[in-house]
Amino acid sequence: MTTLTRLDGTELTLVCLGGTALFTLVAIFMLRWLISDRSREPAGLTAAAYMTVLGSLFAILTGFLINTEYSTYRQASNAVGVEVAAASELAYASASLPAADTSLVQSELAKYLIITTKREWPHLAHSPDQPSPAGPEAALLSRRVFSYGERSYVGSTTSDAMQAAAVGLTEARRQRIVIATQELPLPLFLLAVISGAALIVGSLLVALRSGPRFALVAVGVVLIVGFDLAAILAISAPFAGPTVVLTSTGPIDQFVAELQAGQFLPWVSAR
Amino acid sequence: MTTWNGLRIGLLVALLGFVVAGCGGTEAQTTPSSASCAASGKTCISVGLGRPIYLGTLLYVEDPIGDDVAQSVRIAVDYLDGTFDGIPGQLLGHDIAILNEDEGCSSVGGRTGATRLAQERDLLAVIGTSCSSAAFGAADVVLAKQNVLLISPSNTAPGLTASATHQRNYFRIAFNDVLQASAVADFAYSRQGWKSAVAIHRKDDAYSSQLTLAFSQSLGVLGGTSLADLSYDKEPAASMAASVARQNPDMVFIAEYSPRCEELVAALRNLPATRTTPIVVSEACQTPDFFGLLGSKANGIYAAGPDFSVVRESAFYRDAYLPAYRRLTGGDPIGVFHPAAWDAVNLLFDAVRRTAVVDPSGGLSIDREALRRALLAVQGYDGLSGRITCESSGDCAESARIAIYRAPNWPVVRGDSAKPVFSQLKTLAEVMNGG
Repeated sequence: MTTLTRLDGTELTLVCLGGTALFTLVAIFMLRWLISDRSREPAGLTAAAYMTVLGSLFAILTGFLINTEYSTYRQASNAVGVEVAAASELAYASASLPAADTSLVQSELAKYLIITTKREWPHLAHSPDQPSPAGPEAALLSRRVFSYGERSYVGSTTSDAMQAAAVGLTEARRQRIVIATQELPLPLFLLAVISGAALIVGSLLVALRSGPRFALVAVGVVLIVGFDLAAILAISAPFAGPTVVLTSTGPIDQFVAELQAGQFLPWVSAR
Repeated sequence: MTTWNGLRIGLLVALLGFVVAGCGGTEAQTTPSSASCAASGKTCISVGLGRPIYLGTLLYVEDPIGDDVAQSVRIAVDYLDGTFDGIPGQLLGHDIAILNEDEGCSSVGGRTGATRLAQERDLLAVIGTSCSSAAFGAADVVLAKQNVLLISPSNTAPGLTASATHQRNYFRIAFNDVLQASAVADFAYSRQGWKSAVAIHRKDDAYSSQLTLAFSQSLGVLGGTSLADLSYDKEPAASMAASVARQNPDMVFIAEYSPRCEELVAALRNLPATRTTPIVVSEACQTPDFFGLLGSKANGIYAAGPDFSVVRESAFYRDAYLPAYRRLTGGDPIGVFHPAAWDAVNLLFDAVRRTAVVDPSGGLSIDREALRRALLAVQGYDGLSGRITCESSGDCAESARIAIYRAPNWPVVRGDSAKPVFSQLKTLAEVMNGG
């Protein structure tokens, strides 16, 4: 399952649609082999009677799963947003330090965020339960920020604001890591797969009874099942697979670019 | 059957179509590239993984002020890791290797030292020079040819940043002497009522000659008279004193270095005609040697220089920098330019952080031209030495508070308890506009 959720968009679509297509072809041959021409009429009628139930069951299951996983994805997006906001607060607060310290803190913040997106992000996608490569940088930044609280030349307002921002940054990162370790509920997903398979078989029976002109209905069902399963798998891992596009590193990358360009340094002008 | 086959093919084509349309791939990452730096040719320097960044210093190390600046550079490198622990920090994961050259406070020394430093192909920048004469038409020209930034913490000669003679890679954190000249003229004319003056400068010395020239001009603007601007070379100090006596000025302004400064003052005090003539010396004369060489004759001599009480008010200077300086050197700073040296190095490091491209291998690419632009973007940097805005002229000190101290109440003798008899904040803009 983890392997599936880590695939990129094209691979995942190919696997899901290919899988349903393969299942469909096998089902066609099996049905044609198992059900004689004479039995197709009653089989089709019986299948048609269950299509609504099967369709509803599949829709409910996949809808529930998509909703659940989309909530997780949104949590991840929010965590990234909170992380960027905390980083901004830290950058702004550090501007009140002596200039040499401001430059240093913002440089270390940029370094930490770069490691977050370039190394921790892929790490969360592939082995979230292992120690993160950004851990040492996060610790260094945190220690640096808290060390200013002990320095007599730093005002308490500045050190308090920096510490609050650092805590926010740590909390958001921790939340992001927790989300990354969450996995798709396998029994529910298997139930959705089974109901999808039943829906395909049912649609094939209807198509076999009604003739080739009605096969398009079956094609539509096959595609919907394939795409639904692909969508569930895609959004189930916010830091891997195709939805990493949605849970983008963009906000962090943009913030880092601003940080490195000196936009949070009070002495850098655009003249 | 044929229809079924067609449908199967149709299904396959539809699937492939959806696959090709896809759900999207991973987002394209726009990673910074060092290609633009490499394309810029000799303005680009590369620092390989594990290799140090070369920072040059071109200072007059025999002079206490030059040594003061050198210590401040070391302290700034120490503080790269955010702590004054005596262990040099790293800049973007690279050590800083300081290449020291002595400029000998001369044009020849400046040129020679700069040439030696420029032999290091990947030289980041040079902190220096101590003396304006070592930079003016010398080190600044040599380093400009190599596109190497020269950032001085103590050059004050106006010509270094004058439009006709400024080298584009030259910046200074120290105040421009037009500020010192203007403040001394204000003190003399407006405060003390001295209407005429004789200035003495060292022959062919950029700092000395340009400062006395600026003083004469400032005095003239106020309505005073500059009776003479005497050039002092190898003639005896007594003959210079005699020349001054013949002019019978209300005051004498000396822009010289130790020990010639002391020689001139002694000669003036030995001559009955000038024994009580007020003497103002420039900041280069503010050394402890002044009192050792002159003894009681030093009393009553005025000295111009930056008002250091502003720097001492900084909590960072008092609580962090100064203890670190004492730990490193075992004593207090001697001169007045160590805060400017701290600022020069930190501004440079900040510019590197804003412009360097970190290669995937861990190496760095730094474009010296980008560094220059990064310095020019500095506006209102709250430095240890004051507010810093780097202009295209190369002047970075927005303003300076110039103080006049009366001996023996000089900072080099009395330290923090030295109180100026006159202190004036001058901005470069106001002085350049005739203020």
